[in-house]
Amino acid sequence: MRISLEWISDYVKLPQGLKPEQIKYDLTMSTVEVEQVVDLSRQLRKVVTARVKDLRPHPDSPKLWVVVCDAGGKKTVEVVCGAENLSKGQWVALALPGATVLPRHGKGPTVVEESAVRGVGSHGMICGASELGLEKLFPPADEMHIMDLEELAELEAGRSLAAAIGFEDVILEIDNKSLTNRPDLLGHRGIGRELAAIYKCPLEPPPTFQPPRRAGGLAVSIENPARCRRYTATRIESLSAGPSPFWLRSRLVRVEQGPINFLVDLTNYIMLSLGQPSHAFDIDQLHGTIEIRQARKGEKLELLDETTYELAEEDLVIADEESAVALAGIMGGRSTSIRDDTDEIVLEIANFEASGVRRTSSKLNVTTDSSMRFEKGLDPVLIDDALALFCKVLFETQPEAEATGFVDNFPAPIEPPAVKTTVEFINRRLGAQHSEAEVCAMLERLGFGVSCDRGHLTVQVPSWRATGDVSLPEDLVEEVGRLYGYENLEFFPPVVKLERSIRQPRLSLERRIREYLAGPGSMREIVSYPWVEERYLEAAGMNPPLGLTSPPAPDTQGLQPSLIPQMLWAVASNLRFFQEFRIFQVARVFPSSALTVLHEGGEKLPPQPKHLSAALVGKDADRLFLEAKGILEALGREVQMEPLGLSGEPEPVSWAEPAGQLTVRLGEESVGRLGAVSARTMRLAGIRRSAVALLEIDLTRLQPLPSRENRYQAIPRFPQNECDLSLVLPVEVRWADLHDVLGGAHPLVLAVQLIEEYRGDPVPAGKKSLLVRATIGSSERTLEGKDLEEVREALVKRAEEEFELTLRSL
Amino acid sequence: MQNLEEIRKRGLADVAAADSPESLQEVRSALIGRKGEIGRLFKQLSSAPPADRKALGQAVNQLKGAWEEAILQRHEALLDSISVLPDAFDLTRPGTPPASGGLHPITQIVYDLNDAFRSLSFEVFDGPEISSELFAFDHLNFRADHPARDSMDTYWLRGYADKRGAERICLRPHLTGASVRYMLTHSPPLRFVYPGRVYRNESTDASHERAFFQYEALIVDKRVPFSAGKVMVDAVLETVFGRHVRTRLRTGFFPFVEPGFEIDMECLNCAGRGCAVCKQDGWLEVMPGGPPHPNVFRAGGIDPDQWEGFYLNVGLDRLAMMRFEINDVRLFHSADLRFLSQFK
Repeated sequence: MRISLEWISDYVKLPQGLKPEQIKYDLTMSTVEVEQVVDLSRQLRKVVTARVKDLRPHPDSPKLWVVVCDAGGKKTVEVVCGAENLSKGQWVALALPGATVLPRHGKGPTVVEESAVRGVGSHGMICGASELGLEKLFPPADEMHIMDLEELAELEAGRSLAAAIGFEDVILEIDNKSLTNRPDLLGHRGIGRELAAIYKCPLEPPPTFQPPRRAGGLAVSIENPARCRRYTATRIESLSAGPSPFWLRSRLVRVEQGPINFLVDLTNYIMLSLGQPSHAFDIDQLHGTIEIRQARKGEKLELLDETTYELAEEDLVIADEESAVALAGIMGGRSTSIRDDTDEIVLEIANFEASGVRRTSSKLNVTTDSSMRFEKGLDPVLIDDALALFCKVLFETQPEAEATGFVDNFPAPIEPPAVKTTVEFINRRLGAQHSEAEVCAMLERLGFGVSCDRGHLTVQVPSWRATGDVSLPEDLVEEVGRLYGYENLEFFPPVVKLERSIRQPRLSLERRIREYLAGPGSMREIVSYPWVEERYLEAAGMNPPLGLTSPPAPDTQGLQPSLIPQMLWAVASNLRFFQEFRIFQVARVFPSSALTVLHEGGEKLPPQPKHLSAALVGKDADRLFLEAKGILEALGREVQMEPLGLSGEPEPVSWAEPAGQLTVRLGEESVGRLGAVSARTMRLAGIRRSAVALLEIDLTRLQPLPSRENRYQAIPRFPQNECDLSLVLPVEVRWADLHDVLGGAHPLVLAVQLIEEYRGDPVPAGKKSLLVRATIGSSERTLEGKDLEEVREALVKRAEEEFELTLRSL
Repeated sequence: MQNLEEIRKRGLADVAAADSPESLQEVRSALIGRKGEIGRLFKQLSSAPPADRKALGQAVNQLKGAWEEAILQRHEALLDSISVLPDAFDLTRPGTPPASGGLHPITQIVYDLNDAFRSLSFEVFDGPEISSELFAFDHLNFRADHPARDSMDTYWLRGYADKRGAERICLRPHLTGASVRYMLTHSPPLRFVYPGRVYRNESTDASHERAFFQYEALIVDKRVPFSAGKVMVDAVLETVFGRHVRTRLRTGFFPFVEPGFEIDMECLNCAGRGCAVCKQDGWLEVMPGGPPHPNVFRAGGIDPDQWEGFYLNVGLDRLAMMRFEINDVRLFHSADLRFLSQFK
């Protein structure tokens, strides 16, 4: 919203010498965010009003003139100009050297310089409206015409153009978002009221409205007062067509509202002054009484935007006896709109309920300055001021116009609330020590009526703040605080009672897991959206039980039932740039639509456990699988939680190869899955020329240990020996079985490790060669050579008994 | 004995000629090894006349001692010429990088902030991401017709969008609802933070996202004047930016706080002097905050006449973007390792 400081001066006389930057700062701190301050005179620097004293044809060009301008004092300025509408005695806008203009043919802002045009000196430039960015204020009849200042009063040669056209003005650009809760600020008067309070200046009294006695054949009925709280209709006759007076057009242009004709401009002017929208109907097109009612189902209405809308019962319309003629609070209808020759109107100034306007406006996708204001919830009393201002400007401009009828249907006036609080409460919350008198004075400056009895305040809220904005003692704390200035509050550090240390084992476990994976696990943490493209759900063989009503994309409706689909996406998208990588993520998943989880306050929600998923990407699926398995096996010890177990999976998932998946267990419970991603899934997910091992576990089911659980084990007193065996076995032999057999082969065997598995030449097909290391030792004595020999024989013997064994070498 | 003297000299010459530990080792074997010169001399002892044997034996032992001494000295001398590295080892070669992973930049900031708030004895809390309208709006003093409740703003779940209150469920549009859950299950005084991801139905571009991260903090105690919120504001900004940052409170409106504040920080790009980053203002809006609205306290089962509080509601994406000079908010959800691998 643009606010003109010159316009504001209708409502408040601000202190002399107050700088616009200071106003920007103070309004931003106390009221609304001012985004920018624009000095309108800057763009018209060195442009003056001048009078054409003489003009003669250019000696060297039939299309050009040499113009002698009276530019004030005794100064004349000679300018070469090609305009077609030049005449002697004419008032023109003369840009002197150093001024900035916008040349007709593109190029952007250009600085005027002394020059010579075909041998004749030109010491400035006579400007067309577009060259000064003023075409809205001085609409040119022809592109080649210069601006004609004839209609301006009291012209003086050499005076700055900005002063002559009201552009010695400063505009405050206010962030609309910060006005959301302050409908009283949607016009100049509202901002003026705030400035008056901030700078302790008196407010100018508003004009008052004298309603005409006669009803003038007007009748207004309101079907539902909850949706239309007040409706006034004023009949005005003997209007004359034509443009607005210059001062009005100038004000509108300065706040970037294009002038149209006097009637339209006047309704805009009222809205921009006070924040109250209004609408004018051509009385000749209006048939009978006015009714504010729900639209009939399927009722059609063509609006001023020349679009016909089909309405529903929830939409509120203004109707005459024949049909709907306007969409309440949003836009007027085309059939009853004023025309160039309209001389008799019905002026509507009304109050429509906010949420209804908003619903219809957003449903039909029609947003106007009017709907934008009604949506915020306006004060119905504001209509009085709007009527008064409308009539004042109308009758000053067109004294022959006459109000010949008036109806004010105000079924349910609102009683503004009175709020009770204490000076002590306000001071306590602010951490301030204001006296009773100071508090009262601040509230009164903001328009509140205050009565005070030994620190107890009864505060009468003015109607313009009773729109849902101020109703609680806390609201008054804010009023005092913002007027006093939050910057001026003294800092009170909060005082804390220390009762115990904070222990949050589950939370700490999640962090240890993430830090372990990102550290020793050398993985990158990613995040992805909770909604998944169908393609990756299909690749993972999953159906999302939960979805969104307005999804981000048509093929992305479902919420992830597992992290696997999004991990497939992340793998596929990173494979464009990397061949080998490891990623993980922790996020909530939505595996079921059953609203089973009961929360506080009767809320039933679907289960949404936090899952961890990791992907290892590279060339060899078996190596990646074992690396992922190694991480899971180590995890328990590394992050101080109950260790995880891994076991074969009776119900395989479709994204992993059937023979390449394991269930992750915590005790007997399944808490996750590890698998080598199947060729089919990779193909569906667009993962090419790679292998992927994926794991997913339910973090919420992991059990943190209460503290570090490692126990010291005595370092062996006697030396231990290692015995390496290279065993050639059928590929079907499982390490788990071999491990058990070798581990029990002799009492001196303390541990058995798999060092390496090898397949291929010279190991025959169908066989594999395993390098196995046994640790041998005794807690009672140092072993001798014969002990070692005995153990070795026992190991080989047991392996031979159980498996089809070839001992390859020592 | 002439002979022995010559042998000695020749041996010493061989030791002196050895120019590497390896050749010295060869010389050593040739002189005093089992099959070397000394061994041969001892064998010859048996064929010497018995009367000479003792003297000769002593002489050979002396010879051995002299050689051993010489070899030891030569070895010491050669140590400095030994290299553990290959010839002309190139010290300018890059070091071998350790295997590297890392946390997401948002996680890094969250953990840093958690540490800071824990040092102020705040707990860390986490709430569900699918929430009912009750906790997303009703409890937070949003008007019944507040635009944020529309499906144009909030992601309602299919099948529940037409219901109301506890039965209408959505991806949470902000974190604040979680604070009411915490209030309902804990008795004041309270100090807690609750980081998390929230969702809004928006068109995305470099500065707008549909999924983004917030970090909220709430303190509730008998006496919490507005200015007490500064401790929390400072904790956030000093953690993220590593130094004290000037801030200011100004008026703002949010349904769940009364009064509402916008909290601005000085623009670090220009030290508050005004530049393109802060639109010549010197200040940047970083977070809203304020005391919980009495209706929010009531929804949380806390008596607003007894307790006071202060909320802080931080948009983490924006802070992270400022901290790391990231120019596109969508990168956080890109899973792109070219982006993520830059954060240590």
